[in-house]
Amino acid sequence: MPNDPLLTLATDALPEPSPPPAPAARSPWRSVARTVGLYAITIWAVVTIVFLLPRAIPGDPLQHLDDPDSGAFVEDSRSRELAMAYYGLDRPLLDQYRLYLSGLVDGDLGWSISQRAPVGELIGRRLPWTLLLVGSSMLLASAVSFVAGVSAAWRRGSVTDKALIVSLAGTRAVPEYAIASALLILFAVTWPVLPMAGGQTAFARYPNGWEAAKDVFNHLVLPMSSLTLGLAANQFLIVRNSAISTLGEDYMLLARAKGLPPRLLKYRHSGRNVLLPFLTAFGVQVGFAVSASLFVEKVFSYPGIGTLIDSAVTARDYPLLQGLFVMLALVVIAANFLVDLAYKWVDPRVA
Amino acid sequence: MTLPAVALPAGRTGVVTRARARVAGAAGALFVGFFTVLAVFGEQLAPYRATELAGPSLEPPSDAHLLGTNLLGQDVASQLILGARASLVIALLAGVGTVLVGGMVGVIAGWFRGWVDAVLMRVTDVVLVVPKLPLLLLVGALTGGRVGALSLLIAVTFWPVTARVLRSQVLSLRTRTHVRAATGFGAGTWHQLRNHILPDLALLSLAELIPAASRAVALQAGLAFLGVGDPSQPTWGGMIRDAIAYRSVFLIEAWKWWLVPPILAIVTLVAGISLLGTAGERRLSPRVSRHTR
Amino acid sequence: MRTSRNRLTALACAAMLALVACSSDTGGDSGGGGTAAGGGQEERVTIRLAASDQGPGYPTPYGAIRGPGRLMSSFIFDTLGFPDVTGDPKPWLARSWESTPDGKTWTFRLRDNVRWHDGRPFTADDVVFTFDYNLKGPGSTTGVYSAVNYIDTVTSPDPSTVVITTTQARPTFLTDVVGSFSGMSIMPKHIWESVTDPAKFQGDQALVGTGPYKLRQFDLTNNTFDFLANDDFYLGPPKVRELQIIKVGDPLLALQQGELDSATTGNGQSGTGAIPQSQIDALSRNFKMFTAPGEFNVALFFNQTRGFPYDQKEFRQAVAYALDRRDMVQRLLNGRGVPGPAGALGPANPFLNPRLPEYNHDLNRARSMLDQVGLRDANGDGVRDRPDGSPFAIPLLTSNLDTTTATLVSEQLRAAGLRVDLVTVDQPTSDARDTRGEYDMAIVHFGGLSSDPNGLTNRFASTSRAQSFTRVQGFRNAEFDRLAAEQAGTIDVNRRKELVNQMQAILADELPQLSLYVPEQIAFADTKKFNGWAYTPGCPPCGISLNKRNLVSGNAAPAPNA
Repeated sequence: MPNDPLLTLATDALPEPSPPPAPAARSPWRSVARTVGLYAITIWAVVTIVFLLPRAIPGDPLQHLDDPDSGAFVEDSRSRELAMAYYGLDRPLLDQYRLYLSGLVDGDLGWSISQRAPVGELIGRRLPWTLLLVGSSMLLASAVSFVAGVSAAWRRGSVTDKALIVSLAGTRAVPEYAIASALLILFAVTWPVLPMAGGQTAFARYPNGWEAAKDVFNHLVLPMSSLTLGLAANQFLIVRNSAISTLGEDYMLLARAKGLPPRLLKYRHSGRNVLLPFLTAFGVQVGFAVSASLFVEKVFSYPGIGTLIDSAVTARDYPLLQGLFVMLALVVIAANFLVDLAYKWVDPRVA
Repeated sequence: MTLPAVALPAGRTGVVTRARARVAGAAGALFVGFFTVLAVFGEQLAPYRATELAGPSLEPPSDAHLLGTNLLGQDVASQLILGARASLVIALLAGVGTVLVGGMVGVIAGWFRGWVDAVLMRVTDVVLVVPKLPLLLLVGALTGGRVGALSLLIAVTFWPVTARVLRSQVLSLRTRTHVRAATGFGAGTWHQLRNHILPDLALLSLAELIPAASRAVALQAGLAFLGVGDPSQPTWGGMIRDAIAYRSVFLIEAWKWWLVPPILAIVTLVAGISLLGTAGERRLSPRVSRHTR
Repeated sequence: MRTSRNRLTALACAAMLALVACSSDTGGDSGGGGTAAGGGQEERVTIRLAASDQGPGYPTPYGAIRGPGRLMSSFIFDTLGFPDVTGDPKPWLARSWESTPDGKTWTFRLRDNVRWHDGRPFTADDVVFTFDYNLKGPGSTTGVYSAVNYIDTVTSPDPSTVVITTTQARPTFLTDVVGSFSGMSIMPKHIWESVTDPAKFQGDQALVGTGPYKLRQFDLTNNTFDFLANDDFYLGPPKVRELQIIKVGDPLLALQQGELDSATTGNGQSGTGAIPQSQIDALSRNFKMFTAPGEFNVALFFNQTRGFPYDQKEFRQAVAYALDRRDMVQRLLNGRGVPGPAGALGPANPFLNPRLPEYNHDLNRARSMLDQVGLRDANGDGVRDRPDGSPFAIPLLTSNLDTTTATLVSEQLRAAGLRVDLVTVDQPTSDARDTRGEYDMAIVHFGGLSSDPNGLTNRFASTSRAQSFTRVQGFRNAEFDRLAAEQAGTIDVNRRKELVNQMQAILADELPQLSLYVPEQIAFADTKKFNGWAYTPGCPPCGISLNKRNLVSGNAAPAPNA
């Protein structure tokens, strides 16, 4: 049967949930300092890579300003020089790097050349949307896959089990954008019950918070469903396989022998032990979900990070690209850090 | 290292009975074999060249065009047949590449430990954390979207998880008695690696290879959607992208013959690889089934 | 189970509320949201249109410098003149203008009832300030107005008159200064005189203009704009009271769903532009369909610096004959478009030379011409080889947005025995390689086909210093250079037309590039609600919906002449 799902697309998991066990004698502070140090080195390397990478490939941000349609564009060599100087792109690479680093230290991500706004603001406004989309999809996917996975494991070999495996494994291989496009046409065009695009109704003046939340929710349903389908397929298999392995354990046999009701057995006893691998998978899924959301956001014109990445790449907008890469890397690091904490909390033996 | 829990193949947990495993393996072999035949004999089997303007735009299926034509009037069936090669090559190259790079890093780090390990693991962390999709978008354009280059790119971006898994396996193998004993007898590094470590890693590598291969197939489709692809090389991902990019595809009937077949092909191939992989794993390690049954 | 679900809902609500609160960014604030309805005259409407896909930028003259963004800033900031539905510049901030016979001195008479959005009166000082600011001051470092560097002095003899002198006579003066979207947006001196970094100047003050609309709300994330009519506008209160530019997925689908009042196919990127007839029929039931000749094209560039055979005119012509461009229009655009005119100006350009060779598909002619050039099949494999017998293949550079066109070109050339190897890169890489001339043959898409023919000079003259992807590499023609230089200083329209006709004839014969196809512009609009829809030639971002003159007047009648 299907193996390890395509867990990782964009950003993958970070460090092992638990750092190499430190000798017992060491103080906890030393291990914290060590962890922070390792993260710092990683972040510095990422920052340097994302500084060099866009500059190493063809195309530059000024090119994008060239627009024969409007007649107003950076066209001759002189206006190009002026623009280069304005954005500091004429400075030596090392100078640019130094400025970029010192800006980062001050929390200044720079000024987007293509969107003409502070990078921090551009990212800050979009990040909540992506977090909402990815977060709600992951929660929903986890809930669905948890119930489905444990049920399938409980009745393994049954028709339900097989049907779930086959259908979810199939879904996993279908590109997210195809699912999203199909849902869009189905529920926003053919049977128009949900909005087609965006994160909320433009310029809506809501009478109260409830209406606002409802509007945002309506816009969220389709993108969230598209993303959830792919994620749930991944997690389902993990839950199912781990649940099966617990079913044969002694304590389960004991519990069954005691005549505990199946429902309790199913979710309490079996479910609890699935939590650990599930949590690990959750951390890995964050990276996958963030990148999958790029496709979904594109289809639904959702105002998240994904669509911003797309336009930043097209515009070769160095400052914006740098900011986005660094931010995504931080999100993945943070997510894994949290998973790490949760891990220790669920299973104290790890800590 | 807790990640392997995620990667636990169903076979190891004893879901599938021996007979059923054989059926699954046969089904996997059938799927993959079918696509392999298409990949090898594509030119002989396809009625048209993939890019040939074989008929009018958006013709429904007919005798001349079993799966109709796309916007340009190209034969969808031919593209489907000829696209098998790219997907298989990607699965194989990117899959093997990922495991090879990851395996090398993992084994070296796990065997030598110390500063070698520290340096390699930092590099692994960095590659893990750099956002991959934007990276592939940026660099993918340079490859011209060609399948070989794309596979390589996927391999050098996705090796870290494999490296992690294999490293921890090597670390744990090192502590086992027979390896320690061999070290005590003064056995050379290469000798020990070959005789004691690598054979034990084969199974784990296979477990890593299968998802890496399936992932590469799906990834190619995703990248094609974002514009990384070579239009002169037929791929299923490219077909899906072309259909979706034609924004009216769902408003007319064409999606039925233009969009659905390549999606089905990808689904079938990925399922086939998974089935085959599970079966292969059982064969490599009869212990697993004995243990769980 | 019950309680936890409720808690979850509450959590989701809180998250959503936070989003709503933080995502709408109020730009300019007019304050007078609900006051305009009074008076009981004719009904004033709110119109909703689709936002552009690309980030338009902050709607100041320096924040928004690409087409869609400049259009947004044009609602707030005025130019001295503005095109009407004929495409010619007509009076706007200036009530009239005239030039001396030598074409070097222009006198503009300004309207005297104009006020800035902040209530201060508008005077000639503001105009003089704007020109100085952009030509010599901080504005000059932005490169936004580099096209008007031939302006010598700008003075105001009295508060309602501005006199501009130029170092040389230029036929493009009006277009450059008051015309379409390259025109200079006049800014209030009392605000901008203290601004040293115009590109980063934002906020309420930065959005004070004289235009018919004030920005009520601007959402950077969705590229959406909410414009409210400026009821003190000097040409009268705009008939469209509120103009909302909102984010939609597919504009035509959104129109069908009632989310918009008008929508267009846009420029019709190849492979996505064709609208199925069934959709056109469905839309036509509820909306009026407008069509206009296209201003955007996909073209095939030959890099003559790459030597044989690209530097052979017969080769380029043979390629043109080998291509079936009508078939391309059929397949890619569902028949809605035309093969591009060979003289590099668009079908709607007033300077279009109507008598140019058409290069209709003629495979036999293409074959014999290729034979003559020396590209023959030496080894009988069905593919033409170089004269020395070595294999010949054309590396064709294309961006990933034009792959369908590139595939068609490659297949059609194959029929003539030419082998094409596609080199697919992403759009910015393609632009960079086009600009630097790193290609043998390339597919390039761009607009502006209806703009002033002076653009031909930038693209084709060997003296051009243009660093643009639309620049065609390696074309050298002394006669063309001479004509280009002469037309640039020719004021007389008929004489200039003659010169430009000759330039086009040279291009059509030499074929440094071949325009493959020009998609027709298609738009649908609700005419029951508002009847000021009209296509404005020469203003690609306007489409049929966004000429502010029509939004103010409420109809599409041409404006009186200057």
